[in-house]
Amino acid sequence: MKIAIEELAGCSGCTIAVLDLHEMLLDIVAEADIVYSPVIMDVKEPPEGIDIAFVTGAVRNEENRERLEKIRKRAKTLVALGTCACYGGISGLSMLNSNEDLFSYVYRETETTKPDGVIPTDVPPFLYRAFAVGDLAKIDYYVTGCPPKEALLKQIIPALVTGDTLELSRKSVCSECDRKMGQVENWTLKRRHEGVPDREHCLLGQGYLCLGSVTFGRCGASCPKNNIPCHGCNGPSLDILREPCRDIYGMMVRRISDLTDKPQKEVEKELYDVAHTMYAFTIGSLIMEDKENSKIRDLVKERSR
Amino acid sequence: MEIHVDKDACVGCGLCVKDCPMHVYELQDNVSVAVRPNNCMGCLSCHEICPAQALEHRGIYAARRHYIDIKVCEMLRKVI
Repeated sequence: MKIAIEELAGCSGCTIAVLDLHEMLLDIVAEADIVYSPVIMDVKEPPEGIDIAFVTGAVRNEENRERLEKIRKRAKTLVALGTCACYGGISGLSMLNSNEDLFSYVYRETETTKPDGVIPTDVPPFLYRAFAVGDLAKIDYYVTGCPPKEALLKQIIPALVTGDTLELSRKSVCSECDRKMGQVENWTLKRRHEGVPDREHCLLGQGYLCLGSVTFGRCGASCPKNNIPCHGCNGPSLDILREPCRDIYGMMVRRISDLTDKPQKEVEKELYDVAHTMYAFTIGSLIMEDKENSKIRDLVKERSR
Repeated sequence: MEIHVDKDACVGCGLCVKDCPMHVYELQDNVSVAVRPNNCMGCLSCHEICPAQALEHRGIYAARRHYIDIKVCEMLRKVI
């Protein structure tokens, strides 16, 4: 059994999440060899005959695309690991700026760049947009999460290696949250700095924009349990993924409206920076963009010029 | 009609109670209970509104077309 982990446009956090298996890694390497992973070992190219390849990160430039094609050809099973691979993730947010703006910012405007202001020409060119890996290659399995939490990987990776099946929850973050949710009056949206949420009641009900109800779970609702609103890093809940007319923004507006008896139009007026608050992890996904009522198309058009 | 409520998942928000046109649900001890399952007309609007996806109707086949996009279904089948 040969395992590989490929890195595309991402932060390598998903590979580090694999390392977070700690001593369980020893059980895995007893069954399988990790033959390629640029983050954890010095092998430049993926070999032939890989059994399971994990691909992390989105596809943002030509090199990412070539690497994805190569690993697809060389692996029997290709697993999209992490939200960037599954839905474009944070890398997808780059679509909110033009390629020129991005290069100019990175090579000219930040304090740490060289003062010569030269934009290199020997780097792989950007594609016209970001892609989730599933938009460009056949994927055998998707594991979401930014990064996928180690408790989840501890269940999934040994099962993938041994070929066992297992039952996992397929519900939203709310299903794992211990807060009390209920009708609220005089609801207004609060920014995070505008107070400390109480620990007992639903964060959304308290006015904090918590995406738990529209986000795929299995993180143990770890952010809401630590008084931090869910920002949707596990990607959309499966009901939203499944239904063509259901979208993250639309469902959030509807849930807030139902909880507060505030008309949807009024709720919408209070929301701010929809690209970053609602679609921070899914903006690069064609599947999420293709939803009938998705705001992604407009947001990208508006901001990228 | 057999309606199953996942008590661990239910957050007690009462949105299904409010949303159900046939008053199938009631909140008991902060958990939704399908007290009048025979009234259910199978619209599944409670599924749409439940933030925790705690509801399950057994043996319902919705009349409207669920399958729209083959790309979506491909991905949906493969999410671990």
